Amino acid sequence: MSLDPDDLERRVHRALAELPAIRAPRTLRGRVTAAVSPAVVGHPWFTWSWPVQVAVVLVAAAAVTGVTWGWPMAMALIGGVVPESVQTGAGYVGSAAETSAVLVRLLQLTWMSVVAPIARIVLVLSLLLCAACAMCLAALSRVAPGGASQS
Amino acid sequence: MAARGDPSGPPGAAAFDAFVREYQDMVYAVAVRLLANEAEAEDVAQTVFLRAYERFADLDGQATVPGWLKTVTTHLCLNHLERYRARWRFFSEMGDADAPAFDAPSAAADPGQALDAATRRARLEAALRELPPHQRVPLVLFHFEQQSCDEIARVLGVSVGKVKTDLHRGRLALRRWLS
Repeated sequence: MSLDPDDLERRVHRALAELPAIRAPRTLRGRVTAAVSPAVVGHPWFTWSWPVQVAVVLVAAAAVTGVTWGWPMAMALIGGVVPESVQTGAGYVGSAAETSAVLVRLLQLTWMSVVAPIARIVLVLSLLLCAACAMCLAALSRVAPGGASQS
Repeated sequence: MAARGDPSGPPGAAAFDAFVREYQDMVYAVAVRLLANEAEAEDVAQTVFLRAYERFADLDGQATVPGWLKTVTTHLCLNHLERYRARWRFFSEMGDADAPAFDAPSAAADPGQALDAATRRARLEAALRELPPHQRVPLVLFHFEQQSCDEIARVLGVSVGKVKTDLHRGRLALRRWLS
């Protein structure tokens, strides 16, 4: 075969032009569609837009905080109100109220003896873990292929 | 999602889906030939379409869409190759930039034997992917994307002379698979 550069260029160009067209894998379109889908449900948290991420974290923190500090107060309130109402009731209403009062007291004791001691620690650890994960993901997204530092 | 006529809102799902369907083969072909790796090419193609999505209202229906997509794909692939090479040097310190990026056993067969056209084309494609990036990338840009040596040199940040040398060496490596 000739080694003349121009001839070689023509031959290579012709041969490459005859190569069959490459088709994209079927998964590509699905991946793109999923990535641009406005629905966040079903997508990993770190792929959501940052306002949604912040909002979800705030709501979750508020919920955990509310349960941690609000539940004992609610139990105390209910526990104080229900027995009085039971005294004015009659028949099955009275017995149902008594049962519910016992259940409430039981839940209150369970909360104070089992859940409350560790709830605040779990809350703090969860928040620290979330922050650490967010920092790791932010770092990974910069160094991973297709990350911010590549563009 | 908004319709095409609403440039302020996100693109219409159906319109963008049709857009992806129309150009996915082109984008993927450019990426897979530049990167010589199907999985990485799919990742890059996805990123290209996500960027297109961000400015779909401006892009859709424009005659410059194929050129824009090819330019973005090329830049993302070159960035990817640069990062890959830097990491490889960092972790392995082998320093063999000319080593093939992956195995292509079909290209190692005896080229002297009689081959039908389809087999020869398949082996040419494999041989192209087996080339080191500094030869494969200029070849792909020159022969598939019809870029001049000057344009390739500018994109790659190297001299025109180096581009011509790499092109010639790449062609020499492919010549045994020419019909």
